[in-house]
Amino acid sequence: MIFSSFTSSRGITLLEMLVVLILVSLISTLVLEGFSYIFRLRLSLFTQLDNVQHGTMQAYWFHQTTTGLTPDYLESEHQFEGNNKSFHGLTLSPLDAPAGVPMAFGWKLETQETPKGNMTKLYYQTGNGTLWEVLSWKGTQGQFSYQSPDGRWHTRWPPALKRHAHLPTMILFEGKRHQKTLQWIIKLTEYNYLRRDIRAEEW
Amino acid sequence: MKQAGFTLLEAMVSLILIATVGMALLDWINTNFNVLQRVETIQERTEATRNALVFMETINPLERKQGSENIGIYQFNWSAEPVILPKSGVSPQGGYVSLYEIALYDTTVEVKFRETNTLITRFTLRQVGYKQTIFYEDDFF
Repeated sequence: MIFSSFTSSRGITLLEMLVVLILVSLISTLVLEGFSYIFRLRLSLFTQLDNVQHGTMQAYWFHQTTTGLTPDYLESEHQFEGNNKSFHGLTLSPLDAPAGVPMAFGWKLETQETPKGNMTKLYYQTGNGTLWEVLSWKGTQGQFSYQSPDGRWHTRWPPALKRHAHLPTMILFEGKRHQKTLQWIIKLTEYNYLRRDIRAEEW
Repeated sequence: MKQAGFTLLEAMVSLILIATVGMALLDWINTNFNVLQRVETIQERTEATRNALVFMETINPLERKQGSENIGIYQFNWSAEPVILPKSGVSPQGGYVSLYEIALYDTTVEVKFRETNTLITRFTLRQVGYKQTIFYEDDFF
């Protein structure tokens, strides 16, 4: 070869160099491809983990507290009331007190404008009015609805201009988790139960 | 001086090796993707089943043997097959006839996505149906 005749040390041939370059480019394409795959894999794995761990907790909190809904005395301040963005009432299994103690509680949806767009958050409202954030998602979607004993759904409780039970028979929550629609149905058992205030009765 | 570069055969062998290993790697990643997708489907199914079970608690199969109802994103279809035909119940004290007629049902429940009409899950549930058949006269007490 011409090159090798100029120097005593033997360098790499052009062919070798080319082969090395081609190999390196091939390998790096593969590696980069692999990286992007692994990145996507990690992302969806974390989503799944979050769904399994946090999702179960969030659903459990909502189920536990809402299933424990119990009517308050007539004319009392914790009568069950709700609209499409929030409800509050009295529960027998609150998150901030031992189970069995009737406590005021509520669930609330709030949409906030952030630089990244609208964010909707689901809050648990404790007995003293503190809000605990439980779930949040992008967008404005999210609502509660209430079923009356006749099977009809309402966006508010008590339904306007109707004789009603104190509690709905079912409460439906629609929201999102990781941009997928999420729905929790709660069945209430004490809807036709009237809590009598024996202190107010005449003897 | 004799050149000791790669031979074509060596280069080919290395290329084939890299290709094989790379393919195996990508295939493995792909398998993981599929597994994750299945996890997601099962998650969806669990959530739907939980909601369906809550909904079915409100259904009395003796009064509504089969039906279909849309709630939010779901459509629930159910149909009940009697296992034990309706018979009059016994009051908790025993011996006396109770006010209710009761029956046992196997209810097949289908949960679908309402918009796409795709089936999420189907399962069978054993349920009690009841109906009040004996009524007290108003002045009984």
